[in-house]
Amino acid sequence: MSKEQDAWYARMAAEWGAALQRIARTCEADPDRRRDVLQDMHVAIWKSHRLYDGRCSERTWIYRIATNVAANHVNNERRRNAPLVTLDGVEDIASGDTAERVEQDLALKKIMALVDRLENPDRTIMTLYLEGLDAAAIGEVTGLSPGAIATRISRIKTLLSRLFREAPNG
Amino acid sequence: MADHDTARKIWTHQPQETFTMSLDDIRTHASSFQGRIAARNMREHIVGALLIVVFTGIAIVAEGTLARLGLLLTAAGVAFVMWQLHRQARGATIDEVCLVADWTRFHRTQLVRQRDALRNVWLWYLSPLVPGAALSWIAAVLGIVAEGNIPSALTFGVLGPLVMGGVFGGVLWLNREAADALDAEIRKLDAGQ
Repeated sequence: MSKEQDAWYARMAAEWGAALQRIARTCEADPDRRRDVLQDMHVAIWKSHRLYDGRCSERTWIYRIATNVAANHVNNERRRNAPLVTLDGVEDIASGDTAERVEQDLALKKIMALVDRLENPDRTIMTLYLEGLDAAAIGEVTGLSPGAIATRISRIKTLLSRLFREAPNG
Repeated sequence: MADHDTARKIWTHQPQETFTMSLDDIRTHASSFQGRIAARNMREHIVGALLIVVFTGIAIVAEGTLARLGLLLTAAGVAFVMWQLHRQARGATIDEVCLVADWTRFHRTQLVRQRDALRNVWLWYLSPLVPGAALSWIAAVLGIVAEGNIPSALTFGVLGPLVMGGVFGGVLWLNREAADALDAEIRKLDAGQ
């Protein structure tokens, strides 16, 4: 069992390690603390082997665990950070002084600036969307209804389009 | 290529940091999951342990049964609060992270647990300290009366509960505010589904 668990974890880590890093980046800016979050994700995935029964895809399983660890971290840490906003409230990010700031940054930093400001579940949905998951897969990971996800994805697309249009170097 | 496709491409091709975790590291960390929260709570436990030692130490040398009892009850109250902090202020366990079927249910469960802990702060954080504080206050007032200083006894007798009530009321209010904020978040989560 242990060897099987180790081998399964090694395969998951190899396949999804980069995605775990990206998700960890959405919930913690400090490199040392982000490393802690990433370690928690890896440990949780290793331990979860005994619970994985194949009823969902490995991708869904890994993303569920990663987003749960990220949500847990945000829940525990966010109250000392800046207040977060919803997709509705984030409209102003693409204009004004924030836009001026992000215009000077790389395209990735512009996206991160958006993700950083979002509260959950918008943050999780946007992260999963950027990861390349479609609405059905996002629904599997988050448990949200297809309608709720479709609405948010539509807003995310609009938001990203605005962000790239308004940033001259985007 | 659409802007959102560009964003996805930029996102998934972002540079990765060096990260390695051996299986030995995994096994070591598995026994101390959520280590940072444990470390943060550890600091609170150390402060609590110091308070218990101080109150117990003063109780040993204090004069009068009532004063001793008040100090010992305070020490017991602090010990109870520390135990409750350990139970209620923890993060999710590794099984909770893995077992809950999806993000929404996991997130909601965590929010509800935190909200309930904040809402019941009067029960597990403030109430345990009341008996010790009350007895200590009564002992102090009676001591001043025994010295014949009635004006000071009256002043302390009135100001003591007022200050204590103010502090407890402030703690209660702050925690209620935080609980209300979590409640709003839970409602929003429910509405968003």
